[in-house]
Amino acid sequence: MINLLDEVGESGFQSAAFLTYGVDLGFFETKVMNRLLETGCRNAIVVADGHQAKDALNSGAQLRYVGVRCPLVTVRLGNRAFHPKAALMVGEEKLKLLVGSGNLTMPGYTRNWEMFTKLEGREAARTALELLDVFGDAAAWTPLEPAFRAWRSRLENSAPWLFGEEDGDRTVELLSSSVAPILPQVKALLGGLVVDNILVASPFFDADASALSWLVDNFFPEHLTLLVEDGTHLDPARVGRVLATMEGESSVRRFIGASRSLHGKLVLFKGPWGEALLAGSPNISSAALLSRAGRGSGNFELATFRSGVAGEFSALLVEKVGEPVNLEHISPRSPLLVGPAVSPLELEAAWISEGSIFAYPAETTVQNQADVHIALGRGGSEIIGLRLRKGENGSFFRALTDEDRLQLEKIPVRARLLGSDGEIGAPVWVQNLDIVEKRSNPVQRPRYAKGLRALESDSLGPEWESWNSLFEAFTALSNSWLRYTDARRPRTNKPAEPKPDSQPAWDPERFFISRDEVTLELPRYFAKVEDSGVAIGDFEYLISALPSARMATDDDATYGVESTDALADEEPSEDEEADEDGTDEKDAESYPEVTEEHLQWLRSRLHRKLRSIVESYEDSISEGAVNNKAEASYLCLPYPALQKAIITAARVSLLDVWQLRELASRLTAAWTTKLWKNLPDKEELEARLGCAATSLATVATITSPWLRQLADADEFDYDLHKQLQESLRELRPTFLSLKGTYDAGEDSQAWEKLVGDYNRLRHVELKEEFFASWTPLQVLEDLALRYRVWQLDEAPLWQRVADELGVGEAVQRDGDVLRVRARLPHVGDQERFLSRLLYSIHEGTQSPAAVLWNNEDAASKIRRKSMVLCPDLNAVIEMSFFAVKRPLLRLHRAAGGSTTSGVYLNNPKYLTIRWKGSMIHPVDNAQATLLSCVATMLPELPIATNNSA
Amino acid sequence: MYTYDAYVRLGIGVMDARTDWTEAPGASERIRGLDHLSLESTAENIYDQVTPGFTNLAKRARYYALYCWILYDFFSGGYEREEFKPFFRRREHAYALACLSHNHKDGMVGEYGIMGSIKASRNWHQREDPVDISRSHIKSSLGGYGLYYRNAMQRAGLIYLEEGKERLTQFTDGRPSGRALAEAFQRSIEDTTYFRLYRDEYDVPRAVLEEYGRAACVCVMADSEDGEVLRQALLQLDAPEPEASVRAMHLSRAKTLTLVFDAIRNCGVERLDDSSWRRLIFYGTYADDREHKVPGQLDDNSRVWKMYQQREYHVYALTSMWVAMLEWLEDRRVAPLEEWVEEFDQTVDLAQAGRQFGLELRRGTPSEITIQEMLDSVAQAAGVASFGPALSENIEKGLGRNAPCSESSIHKALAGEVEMDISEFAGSALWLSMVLFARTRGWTDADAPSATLARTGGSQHWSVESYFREIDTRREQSVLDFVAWLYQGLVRQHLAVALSKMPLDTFMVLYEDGALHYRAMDSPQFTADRYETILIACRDLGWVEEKGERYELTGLGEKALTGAVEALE
Repeated sequence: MINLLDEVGESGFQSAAFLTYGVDLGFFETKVMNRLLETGCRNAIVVADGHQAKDALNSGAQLRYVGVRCPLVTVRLGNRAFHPKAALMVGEEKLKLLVGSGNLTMPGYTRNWEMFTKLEGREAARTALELLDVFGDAAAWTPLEPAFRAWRSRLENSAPWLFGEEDGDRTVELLSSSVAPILPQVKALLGGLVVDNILVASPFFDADASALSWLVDNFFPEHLTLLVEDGTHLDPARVGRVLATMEGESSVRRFIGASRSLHGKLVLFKGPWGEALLAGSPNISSAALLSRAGRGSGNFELATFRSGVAGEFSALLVEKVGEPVNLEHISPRSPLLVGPAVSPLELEAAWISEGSIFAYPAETTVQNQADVHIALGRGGSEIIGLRLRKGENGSFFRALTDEDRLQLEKIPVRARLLGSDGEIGAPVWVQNLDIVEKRSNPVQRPRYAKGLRALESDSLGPEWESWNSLFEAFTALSNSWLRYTDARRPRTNKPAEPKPDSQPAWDPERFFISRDEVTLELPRYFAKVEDSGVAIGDFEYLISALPSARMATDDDATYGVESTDALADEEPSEDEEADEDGTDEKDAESYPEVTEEHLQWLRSRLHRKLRSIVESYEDSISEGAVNNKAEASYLCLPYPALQKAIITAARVSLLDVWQLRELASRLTAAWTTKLWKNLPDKEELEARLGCAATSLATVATITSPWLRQLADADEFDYDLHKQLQESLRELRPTFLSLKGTYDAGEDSQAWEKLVGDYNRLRHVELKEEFFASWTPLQVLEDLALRYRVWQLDEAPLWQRVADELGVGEAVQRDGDVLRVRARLPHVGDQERFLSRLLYSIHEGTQSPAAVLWNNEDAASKIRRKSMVLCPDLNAVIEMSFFAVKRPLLRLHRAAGGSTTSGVYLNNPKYLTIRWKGSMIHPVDNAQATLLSCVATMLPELPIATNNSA
Repeated sequence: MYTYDAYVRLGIGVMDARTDWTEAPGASERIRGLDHLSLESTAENIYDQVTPGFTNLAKRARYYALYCWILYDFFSGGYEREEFKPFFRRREHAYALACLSHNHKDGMVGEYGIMGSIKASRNWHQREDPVDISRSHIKSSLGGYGLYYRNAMQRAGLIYLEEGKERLTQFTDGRPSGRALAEAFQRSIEDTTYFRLYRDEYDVPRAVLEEYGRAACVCVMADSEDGEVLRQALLQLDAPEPEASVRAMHLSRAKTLTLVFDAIRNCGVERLDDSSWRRLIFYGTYADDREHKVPGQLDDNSRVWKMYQQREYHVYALTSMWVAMLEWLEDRRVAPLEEWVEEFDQTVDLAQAGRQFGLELRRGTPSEITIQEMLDSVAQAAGVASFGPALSENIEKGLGRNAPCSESSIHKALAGEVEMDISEFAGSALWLSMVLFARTRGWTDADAPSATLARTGGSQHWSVESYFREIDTRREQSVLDFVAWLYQGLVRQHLAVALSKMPLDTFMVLYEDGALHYRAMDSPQFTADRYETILIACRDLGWVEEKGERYELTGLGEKALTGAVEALE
């Protein structure tokens, strides 16, 4: 028997595609997609019936992958069903096809009696290509066709071998109603062979039994057998009439299902020549078997047809054919076909592509409108409302802002059409093809030989040079981790280089990295690193291309000569050709003057940007447990890339030493936090290990050939991660015992020793019984002793508190006001966070102070929250502003406080307010005084200070 | 047409092709299972905070002493580790027989909770002499210790794990410890023939076991030396324990015991059983409507119990709604969820369902009324004009436990006191949820600890806080919209829970072709009563005794209560 979950969970595949009628998205994600990711299969797609996929449970499911890692392409065929069931799985060396009757649901995969044909091996390539054509036929019916085309393109890139395999055996024929009606195809394949017996099993027969009748009229069997069970949908009278034409040479038998329902569909043909089996999605109905797929004609069905020797297929039914049964005694049930009914405000599809969002209304009347209004939301709350203008072929579109785009790429979101009178349509999952493209690149085997050679050959000393060469090696190594050919690299329009003899004045617009590019391009590059793996070359190129970099360093900051350059596949400009002709590059390039002011500005921007990227990385690795190998691998990959970016930026003087230490420390702290996540006392460990020293050891460990050898892992995947985690876990007792001696470590000699240890750590021979004697434990012990080398400057209290609360980068001080732009903590922590920030400004309650927190959690109902200390009144006023309801005011009595607890708050009570014209009006004089204090501190709040009571 | 044979004959490469039926992995692993919505375990997590050292199944106090002694006897005997299982089973079986042979003291709990009592009883009643204790008395190799007591003993500070192996705690400062308990137990039995001659024998004379029972039966712990050690171990209000978390665990348990003692002392003629306890901690009143004045020192502990019971009602309401749908689906066998929501609208008369609890609604059709109207109805029953979040304290005051619409009254009706059809049952369950929201909405943000407790379970397990938040945001929606959302969530929750348990098959419904397929029935229930366990331990230890219909504090109990209250001050 075929275990479908095991089949689709087999490792070694990088791409998977599913055809199904009904789909249970919760089941798919939990039992199938999770497993696919675990095995490194990242390029997945599901093509399902559009009316089935829109049911309430799917629409309201809590999803993680659909639309952001795996597109769901829904196909609507009007009043006909999109009914095929198949899976196609392709790897570098492997191929598997499953074509059958089970839907992508729990019962379809694990409970019903389903029949599947499984094909494996490169010899199945021809059939696989035919199946790809079936997918293509299906996609042609939906506005989401680009999703399939992109999937196929990724497949072509990751498994080019498949597309050269046009030959193959034809022992299994794939029959799709998208090509021609199925039964006539069968008739042609049987080619006039005599059919003595036909056995039919199906859970569904059409009302007039016309398909059954067609079988009898076209194959003239001597005997016809029907396998049915209670619940089979059929009309006993109509079916009986067809059987009567057999003049007694027919029988109806009970299917022996032993409490499992029959959902498999098959027609078995027998003759003196042997047997042939039609099995797959089509039920015994004319819509399934006698019509070509299309709106108003037939279902979209898919089946396999095989021939064999006598007994080859009937063996499958030996234990399934039960006692004769009278059709009248079968308890038929009506099929639960979800009709083609479409509500007026229904979306057939919504998707994001190339930075724009598209929506395709199901109703033609809506399609003819000039524009439509949609709401995007997750978890039941709206996050973005957009008006879309008319596009092509009935769709509507709008370009997304960067902010919207970032909001929409993290988790699946739903789109709803809004009516002119405030009505809301049913939700549909948005397919974010842009983010799927980033995240679905099939994981490739590493090709890191060059990088490793470089790593092994360099000798790292305490000088910058040696470190730079290390990261050179990283470039090679990391590029090798992905199949990241030049042809697939992102292109960026590069303006013409300035002429050698020109000396233009500073003009940001003329630079390749202009102000806009710093703000727009950097996030794009960084997002790429975060989402699809390492792109160190991009970082290096980008940073070294900064005008400040060119001007600030004239030693070996190179531009345009790296083979891993993002522009490597672009047509060379005239100047570049000149370079190749031997022109001295430095002479050829002549940059405009960059003032110190510009440089400062760039430094500041870059520092902030890198901080936010590190923060994002911290978030990404601290959210949730690592569930599978793919996720572990995914989390690990950006680490060296970010380190490289930070080091390179410092190398070209775009970061000063303190900024470098801060960023490197934070990044490493995030990394180590993840590694120690499940251990007790992790807060203590985080504090101690938040140093770049550990970073070096970590980098050394993950790149050491000996570790790869030890872990028997030739790719950077979960095995390696696990090995690393386990070895580092052993360090914990050592670190704990060193607690008291941390303060003693300092001086440059320590640094030199650290570097020496680092080199030894990387190059130690496995034979040295590494874990037993000279171990990473000892090395890291030394590194820990040198922790102080990496300690940061003492920051002001408000900054330290903000850092401790995890919002360091999101806080800005403006006199007595701290403004925070970040995700609000949970409601239970909000008061504590705000009162601590409040205290941090003046370390007491003697001066007025305020905290205004703009919530960046779009799913939250609280838009912003403020806390204002009015010392004259001994009061703190806490205000919450909501997305939809009136603000909430709470008055606390304020007294003293401490660094750890914040301003002491007690006797809280809610205040009744007047909310009129979107402004808060005081209800009495006392409240007017309070609100006046708040308005003085935070004039941007909607407060009317006149007493209108 | 080409056949496989033809290809083989022609020497052409042939793909690996197979047509077959599909397997049903786990289909044979059908089990009844528990907590099909994964909502109940959260309540257990809450009361675990205040009952460390007790579990629902570690019911008899003297087993703590017995198991400590077995470990002690083993460690001091120089045995090899692999000898432990037979060593342990001999002693546990003999102890079960000893207890079964004993005529228990009047008023004591009796044979309840004897480990392996079914098979041991059969062995005892075969009347053979000597009794062969090599026969199996319990399936699990480490008996009740491995199944139930090990975790409880660890949290009571009697044993600890060192590299995965159990060790008895022992202290030099005279504190109660596992070792002290073991030694005290040994002193209680060291004069018995069993201890001296038979504890490593497989054939033990009946008279020896009877003598052992007289010395060490579960019912005679109160007066024993090990009873005193265990009393001290369980009631440590200020344990000189360096680890803050362990110290907090001792204090929390001691406070719960003090809370129980205080409630029993003041309960008047009321029999303070589990259901009375639940009502007492939730409503803060005794049966005769006297207020239960919680000593200030126990406020934090009492709050946890209160929030625990809030969660219990919350889960009961949701599970009842779920069961109503299953009842309907059982008849239909296969139906889309949307049909049930339609059916709910057509058959559930919320006005009629509310009337039986004194709740008035002008209309009863779910699609025609809003959640706010239901909440207003609850508010009006409490004498408050309409519902608003800030008014839930007033509503709480206006609706005592004796009110016809109190959670307690509706729960009783749902639990079978009132005969109802599916629609009445579903309507009543929804009312329970609304009453709970209207009355206790304010608890969830009364203070930080309450907010934390209300958040327990998070949105994944429908924490009270996340559910209340959802009601809050949907107040202006029709009840039917809310019900549709609720049922989608419940079904999704069940499918997710059952999927996570695969290959074990615990599905109550399956979901295919957009429809639900009925598999099995569920039932609403409260989680197992931890209070009952504590009460039994208190009786075993001589703190509480049963007198007629009531439970009373003994002299020991009075002394413990007084001492605890003073110490806490």
